[in-house]
Amino acid sequence: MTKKRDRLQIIHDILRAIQRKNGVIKPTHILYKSNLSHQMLDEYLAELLTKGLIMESSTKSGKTYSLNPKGFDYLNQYKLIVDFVDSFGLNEA
Amino acid sequence: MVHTFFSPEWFLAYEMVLHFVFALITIIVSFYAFKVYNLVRQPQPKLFGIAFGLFSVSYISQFFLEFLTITQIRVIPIPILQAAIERFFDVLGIYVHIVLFTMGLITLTYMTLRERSIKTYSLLVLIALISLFFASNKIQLFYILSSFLLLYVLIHYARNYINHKQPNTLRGLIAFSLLFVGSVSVIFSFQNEVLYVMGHVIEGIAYLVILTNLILAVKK
Repeated sequence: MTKKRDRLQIIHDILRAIQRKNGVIKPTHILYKSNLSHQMLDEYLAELLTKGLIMESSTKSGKTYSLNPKGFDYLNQYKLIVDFVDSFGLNEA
Repeated sequence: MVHTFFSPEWFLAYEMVLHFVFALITIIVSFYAFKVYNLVRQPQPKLFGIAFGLFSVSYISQFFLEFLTITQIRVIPIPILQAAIERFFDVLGIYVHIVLFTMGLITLTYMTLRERSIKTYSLLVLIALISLFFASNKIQLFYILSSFLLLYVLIHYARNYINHKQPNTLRGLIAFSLLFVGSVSVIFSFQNEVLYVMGHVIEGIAYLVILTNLILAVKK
């Protein structure tokens, strides 16, 4: 697997973890489900927020993350993304 | 229109249809590339989408100018004016195609590089376009340049196949190999016009393979 595939897979795993928790999840749960280091998770969450795939909310018990419509799209279109990226060699050079 | 320079007259109508089909396939590929880009926001799908978008516009412009030439020939009764107009559309068609297609290929080649800098991209574009502008035989240089750019793209797809030995990566490799062979074939078409036809047929097969890859990726 290439770095790009890993990234697509990791993003998919994070979004799937949020979806399985009824669309709202705490960062500690994502950390557990995605099997990433704390630093890596922060980087991915920042990237997903920037790309508009997830939304951050602050509650009394801390931060939570939920899926945006674009995040749901990503999950629905994941097969297309991976197949298209592989078929046309769009993995990170 | 290329036929003034290389293409046999009997192939003109077929060539026009082929350009229309190529334009359709490349615009569909471009559309899906941007759809993927919209979800992943990575440079590769965006550059791939831009490259295929440029290919599509180059084929569309060629198709329309070929169409205009054919219709103009029939409506203008004065032979000398007819010839002048045909020549004008010929030259305009080929130059628009050359510029857009070269930019598309450079974008595709740039996508395969590790380097991500506007300076590198603009350098490639400027070198190619200035060379084409001052070349005495622009069309032949265009096909030579295209073949070299396609060779670099081909190396990327060969590496992609080696890293992921799957049917879809093999189809990608076959498609770009065919585009390369088709382009090389056209370089020598000034010696034999059959090579021009062969180049276009090979190009057509390449786009069909690309379309197959796309359909299989899009299919749920």
